[in-house]
Amino acid sequence: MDSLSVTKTNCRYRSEQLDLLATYVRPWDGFMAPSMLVEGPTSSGKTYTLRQYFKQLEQDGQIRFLEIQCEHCLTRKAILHAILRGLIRLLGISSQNEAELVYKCDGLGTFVDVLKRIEHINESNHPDEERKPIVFLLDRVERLLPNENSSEFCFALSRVHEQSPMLNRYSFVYVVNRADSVGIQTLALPLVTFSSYKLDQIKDILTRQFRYTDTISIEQAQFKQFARQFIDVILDTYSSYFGTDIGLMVPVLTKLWPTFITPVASMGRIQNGVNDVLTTYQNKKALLQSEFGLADELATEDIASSDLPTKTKYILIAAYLASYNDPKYDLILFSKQREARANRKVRHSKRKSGKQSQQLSARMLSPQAFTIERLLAILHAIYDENRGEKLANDIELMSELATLSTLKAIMKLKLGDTIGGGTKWKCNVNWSVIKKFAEEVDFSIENFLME
Amino acid sequence: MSFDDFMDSQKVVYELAGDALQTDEPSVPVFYTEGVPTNAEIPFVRLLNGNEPEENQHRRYELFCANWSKQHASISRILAAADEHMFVELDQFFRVQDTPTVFLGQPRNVSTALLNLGPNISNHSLLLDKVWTHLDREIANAIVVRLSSKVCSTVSFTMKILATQITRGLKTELDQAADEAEAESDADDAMSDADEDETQSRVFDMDSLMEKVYAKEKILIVMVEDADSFPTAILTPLVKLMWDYNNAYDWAIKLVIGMSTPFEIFQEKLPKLTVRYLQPKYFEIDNSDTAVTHIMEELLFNIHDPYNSLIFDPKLVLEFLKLKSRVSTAQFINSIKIIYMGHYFSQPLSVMWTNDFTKTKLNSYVFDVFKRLPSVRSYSQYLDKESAQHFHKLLLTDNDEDLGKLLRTSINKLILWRYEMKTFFDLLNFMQEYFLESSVWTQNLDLFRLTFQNVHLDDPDKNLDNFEFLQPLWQGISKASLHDINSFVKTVMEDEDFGPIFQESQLWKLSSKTEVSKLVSTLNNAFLQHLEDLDLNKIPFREICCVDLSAMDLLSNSFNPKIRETCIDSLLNSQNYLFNTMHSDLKQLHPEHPDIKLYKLLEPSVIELFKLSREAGVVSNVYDFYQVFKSSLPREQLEPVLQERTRQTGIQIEWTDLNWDKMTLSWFLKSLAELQTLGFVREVKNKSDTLEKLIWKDL
Repeated sequence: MDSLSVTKTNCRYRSEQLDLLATYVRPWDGFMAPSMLVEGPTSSGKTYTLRQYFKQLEQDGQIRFLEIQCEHCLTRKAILHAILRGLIRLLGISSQNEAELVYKCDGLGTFVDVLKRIEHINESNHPDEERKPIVFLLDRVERLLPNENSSEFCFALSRVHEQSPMLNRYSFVYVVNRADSVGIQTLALPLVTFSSYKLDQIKDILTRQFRYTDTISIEQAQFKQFARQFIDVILDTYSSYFGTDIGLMVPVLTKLWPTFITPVASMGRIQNGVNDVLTTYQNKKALLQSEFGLADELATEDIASSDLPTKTKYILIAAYLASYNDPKYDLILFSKQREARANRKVRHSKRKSGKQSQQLSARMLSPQAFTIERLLAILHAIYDENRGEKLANDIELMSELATLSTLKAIMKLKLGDTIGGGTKWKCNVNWSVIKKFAEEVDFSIENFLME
Repeated sequence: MSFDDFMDSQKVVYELAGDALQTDEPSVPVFYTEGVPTNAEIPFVRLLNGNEPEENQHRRYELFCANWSKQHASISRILAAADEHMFVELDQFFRVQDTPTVFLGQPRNVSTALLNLGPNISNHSLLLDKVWTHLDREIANAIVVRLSSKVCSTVSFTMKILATQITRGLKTELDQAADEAEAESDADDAMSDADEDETQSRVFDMDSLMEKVYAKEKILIVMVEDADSFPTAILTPLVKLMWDYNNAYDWAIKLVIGMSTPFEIFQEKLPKLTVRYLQPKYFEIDNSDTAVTHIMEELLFNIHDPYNSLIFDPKLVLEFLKLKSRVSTAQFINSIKIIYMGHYFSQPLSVMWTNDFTKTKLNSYVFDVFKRLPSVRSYSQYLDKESAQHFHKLLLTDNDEDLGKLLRTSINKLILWRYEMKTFFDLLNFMQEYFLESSVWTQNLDLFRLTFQNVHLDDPDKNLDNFEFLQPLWQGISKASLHDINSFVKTVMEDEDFGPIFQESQLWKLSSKTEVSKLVSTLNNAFLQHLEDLDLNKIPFREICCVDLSAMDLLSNSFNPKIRETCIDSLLNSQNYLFNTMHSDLKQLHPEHPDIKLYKLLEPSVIELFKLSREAGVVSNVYDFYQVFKSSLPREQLEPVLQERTRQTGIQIEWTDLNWDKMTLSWFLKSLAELQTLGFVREVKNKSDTLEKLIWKDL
């Protein structure tokens, strides 16, 4: 059996793509595409299929293969280093040279030179060795840091073979979600497109991957059947949420699995109408209707919130008020003069009777910037009135503000003159938390919000 | 008022008050109120205007050192004990083995310990250090990497730090191995390995580092110290990367995330997709609260060696407890320390709070202080008429013997004070245990708070409801059987500690349940009486060892000074700062010194300008301001002094009008800029050459 058919048995439902791949990568005929694009949506088996195929070829002694997770590298330089380092190890060049050679490459400009040097060294080390093609699989090459231009990078790598006949044994395979994201379509590179798996195919794959636990005293065949039913039910229930993303399915299935298997485990067998998949599904309907399986929470159990000092809570409340109230209402809301305050209700209701339905609630918008002086003024107003004591204007207040800004609860914008005053700030805490704080300090925050 | 009158009233009239120009000549140029610095090597000064016996000055310092070190030792002991229990759960978390996944080859989430460090970030560095040391020491085969937002400004930089720290972790391991290997004279291998690391450190390669970590069967603990301050743009890729490596290298990675905002806020900061990579567990790691509680209890209820600790007024203790949510444990301890320091530094009688009087000297000045103490002065109001008269006579005459007697009895009372309070709380605890199934309070400190938070020491009549919180206890008594109550009464009356509490309102053996309400009111009265006895204000000479609420002012002045007020104060009373003996050379403060002479004529120019600005109107012209400033300077007197100064520095100046103008202008511009920076004046926006006053307070 040749490499292709072996891979086909390992990668189900992907023979079409493998056939196409095999037309571009035919080391047995001495034909290798110098670079190649592989595109397809998430979890369509791109990397897996390619890896299986190239590994098989490597096993058969036809090529050498190196996989690089570009997402880990983050920068182009790091990818180049990873390529070089991998190559050096692949060719068995001594580790002292490795550091030296890798260090010499500081970008695309010097990359080719270093590649050539490596070839030279290799040739002088093993003059009689057959020059096997070397395939670099660059996985998720488009997911670099935003300022790293991945299209330029791929463009340059695609031209490496043109630089010197020594370099024509290298093949670069770019695995991306969408080919146009790297912007090298105009190079007319060979393109292998992977489509998403069908839902039935996914179910099949997942069932095959299901781990049989022998602690449950049921037979493997029965277990597989049970698992298949479970997968069917859950995937059908949430199909609109999952789409065809296996990455989304697996955590949910994992989370819900104990709910279904525990009745079986406790009973020791599967009995229809008692603990089979559908019965459990019926019994636990409420659980499935809730977000339990889908929501990823940092903690499932209730956690007592660590308490902030009262003054800090007031600062956060004041920051929220400053961020979500228009400064023009400050006089109405926070003034100590009775006249302005008396109008508060009137204006409040006047506004309310307007076209409220057309207006978006301020809370839905992102916070507005405010000057620190305004925050302090609001803080003094609400603190003095609500606590009945004066807020000390001391270093502590400032250091507390600084602390909150370190914790990113309020954020300083990079505008304005820091020394001359007038710095702009924003509140970075959402309404539910502020509401809770307001309740804790017994402050009716709704009275101070214009909506 | 006519229009002209109105216009006149709006005019700015500059008037130079002649007196303001004459700085009061300090009789003693050195500025101190009571303490006189000496040549002794200790930082304490000689109190009572320098009349304190020198031995006492040394003795105070000695006592401070000895007592504080004892206090500090006991505090350290408490802190060490508190730390021991802190990490038990965390250890278990790291030891837990992963359970098999549902699918074959299923990616596993990164085990993450969410450490809640508490909102008090001043504690964090200490806490994180403890966590780090603990993880590093206790978890075998772990390389602990610390990431702090202060250094991790970008993703790539974070990766670099991660790589460097892993390399270092591997290297220390290698060094240890090398040490061992050297002993076995087989060092070559390890050395070459170390060399390899050296050259590699120039270019980082996470993959090979992780391979090494994995090959050495280590686990990598990545500690994100202040996750709140990390930008999401760094945290998200970091977590993803850790997740990837975790799966690639057989779950060798654990995350520790330190957070300080309440959980609700923190949760919003991480994207849901990132949360999916974590398998979090929540830990409450901040134990400063319990530690502080223990320290306070120790401070309050330590009845052994009373001489070594000062007595904190109950009101002060309550204020102190409020402090604890804001300050770190270290700062909290420092606050106590500064109170000790302040007491021994400024209280000449603090030498009396000891059981060893051999090193203490008393002279007539000290006896004078005895009579002038506020507590002694107010003592008579707690006495009946006759003894008050007697007491007044005592104060007027020089009857040192009687005064000494009073001193001795008072000190005895102070020594017993803590003991009496402890006894009182023991009794209440005993009663709670005896009559109630569920407890109203669990700790002595809670009980302390309940007892003292509403006490009005100045007006005992307001205290009648002070023991309202004992209501459940009273109900418990009324529900108890007669036998139980009687045996309780018997126990209490026979107890030699509890007995004295009921000296004035005696308990009796109940004959029927109807007497219960009477018993309850008797108990209540006895408690109120005891509370009154515990009033420190009634004990004369309490200044010797008691610290009252004024210590809070000391704390806020030293740690949280009010910026604006301090600033204005320094401008108004510059001599407090310039002539302070603590940071000025005594020799330079001689009245004949040129600097002092100059100061008498001209304070630093910004102060002169500030004084003028206080007199000026809201808006004033800059040129007018300058003219006033210039003419306010006493040129005739200044010139000879300045000449003397310039001669010393070797600068030749001709005292022409032009030069004088130049000099005053330069002073003026410099000081004006300083005033602007301090925020006292500003330029009027649309009007050139005009100044506007910004600060009105205290003018």
